[in-house]
Amino acid sequence: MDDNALVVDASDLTKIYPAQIGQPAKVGLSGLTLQVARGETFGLLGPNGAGKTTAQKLFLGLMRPTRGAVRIFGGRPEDPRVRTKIGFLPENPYFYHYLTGAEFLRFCGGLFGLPAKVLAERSANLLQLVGMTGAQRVQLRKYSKGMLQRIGIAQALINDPDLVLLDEPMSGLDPVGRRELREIILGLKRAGKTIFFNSHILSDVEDVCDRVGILLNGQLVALGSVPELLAGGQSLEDFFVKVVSAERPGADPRRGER
Amino acid sequence: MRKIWDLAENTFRETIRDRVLNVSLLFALAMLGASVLLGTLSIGQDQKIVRDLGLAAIEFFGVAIAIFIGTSLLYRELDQRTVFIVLAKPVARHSFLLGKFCGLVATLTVLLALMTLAYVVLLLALRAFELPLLWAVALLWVELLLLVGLSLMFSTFASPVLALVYTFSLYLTGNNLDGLKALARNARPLVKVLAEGAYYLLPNLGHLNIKNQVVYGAPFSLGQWGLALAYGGCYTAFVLLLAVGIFARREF
Repeated sequence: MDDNALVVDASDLTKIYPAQIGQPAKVGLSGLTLQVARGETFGLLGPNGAGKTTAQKLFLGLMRPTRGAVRIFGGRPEDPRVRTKIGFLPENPYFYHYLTGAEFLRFCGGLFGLPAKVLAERSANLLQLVGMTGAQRVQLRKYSKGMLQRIGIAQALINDPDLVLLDEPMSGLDPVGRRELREIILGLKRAGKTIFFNSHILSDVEDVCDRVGILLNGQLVALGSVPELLAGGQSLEDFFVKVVSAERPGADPRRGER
Repeated sequence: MRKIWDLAENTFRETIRDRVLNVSLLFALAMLGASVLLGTLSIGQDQKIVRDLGLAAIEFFGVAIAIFIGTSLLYRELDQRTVFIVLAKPVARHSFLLGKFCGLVATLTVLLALMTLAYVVLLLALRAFELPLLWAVALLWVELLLLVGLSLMFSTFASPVLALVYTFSLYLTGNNLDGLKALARNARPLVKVLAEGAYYLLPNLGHLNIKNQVVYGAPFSLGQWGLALAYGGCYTAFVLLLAVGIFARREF
């Protein structure tokens, strides 16, 4: 793979949470080596606590690795300039509830230094894209979970990012919302954006991802393109269950886990 | 700079739209009126007591609001995970913290201005107003800045309750450091060294308190006022530097 085409380049990325009173040290992520190329849509799967969110936090410089390193667009994520090209939607997002939807987008765009005219235009387009134009003057405290998720997606795209990191983007959305989000992701993909998302809804991952990785106890236990992994006509769910069961005998990842 | 401005504007909006704060302001104005009027009932309707009680009410509410909001501001960002949204964008950690500081200072400035306005109007009505009272308010503003800085610094590593306890303890100690120095004079050598160390290291809020001078006419000069202002400003800058240093190392 051409290094210039690499958007995410993690090597031996490891995060160990230090021991605390009554709690031993915990491995968040162990030796993750992974490259994601420009324009690729990558899905990271795994049960709760597997290390998916930890990986995204390391990609954003919100945490420092215990060992190894990650380069985003060839730079360190701690460098704010690198983050100008990233859009991020955290899991179960909470936003400033005293702001209206439009004020929130204006605030987020301001942090990217967008000129007022561009910001106004982009906000209007994004509110329309996520179906929130009617609620733009309503304070976020009055938004439902699904509405918060939609405005969260809009803020993640306010800078027209080259890399979009989505942590469980489908959570909180009803079936219609999920279909709309899938369309948005496919639209971003067509626009050549690189998308990296964590999800536990396997069918959505299967539909939109070029490549998939499975994390278990902080370790990447499977990696490949969707057709490669699904050779033999099995569904992604079957493959996921098989991999997780093999690594962790007795566990049924479909029971309340991601 | 624009990012700090945007973050400050957001924090200002957050705090000014806070219902608890609005209720506190109404309460503060009512207390201010009540304390000034109470002063007029004192024997001989002493104007000094009227001035003193009003200033004390402004200080009490200013300090309470600065410490309570200052210690919960960062915690709210972490608890509601809004900090992820902001720090995932091209925002340096120091900009985030300075934005929070400036936003809260803007809110406190508005509150202090409103309380001072009410105070001045009441005093003018009672013919008890004197210009130097405003110098005391200006130093109180610097004291609030310092307390916001301390609150933010403590909340970069401590829970809101602990940050509140630490800041309030420093507020109490800082206002009584001269007593500590007096005690040190006759103490044993080790205690003396510790007490003198504390005297010079801890924020001496006594320097920023000229209420007695302006109300009771004790000796006081503009030079002394300027030095106090500079002392408060420098100490606040030092505390903010410390806060930025700790916050830069934090993981989320």
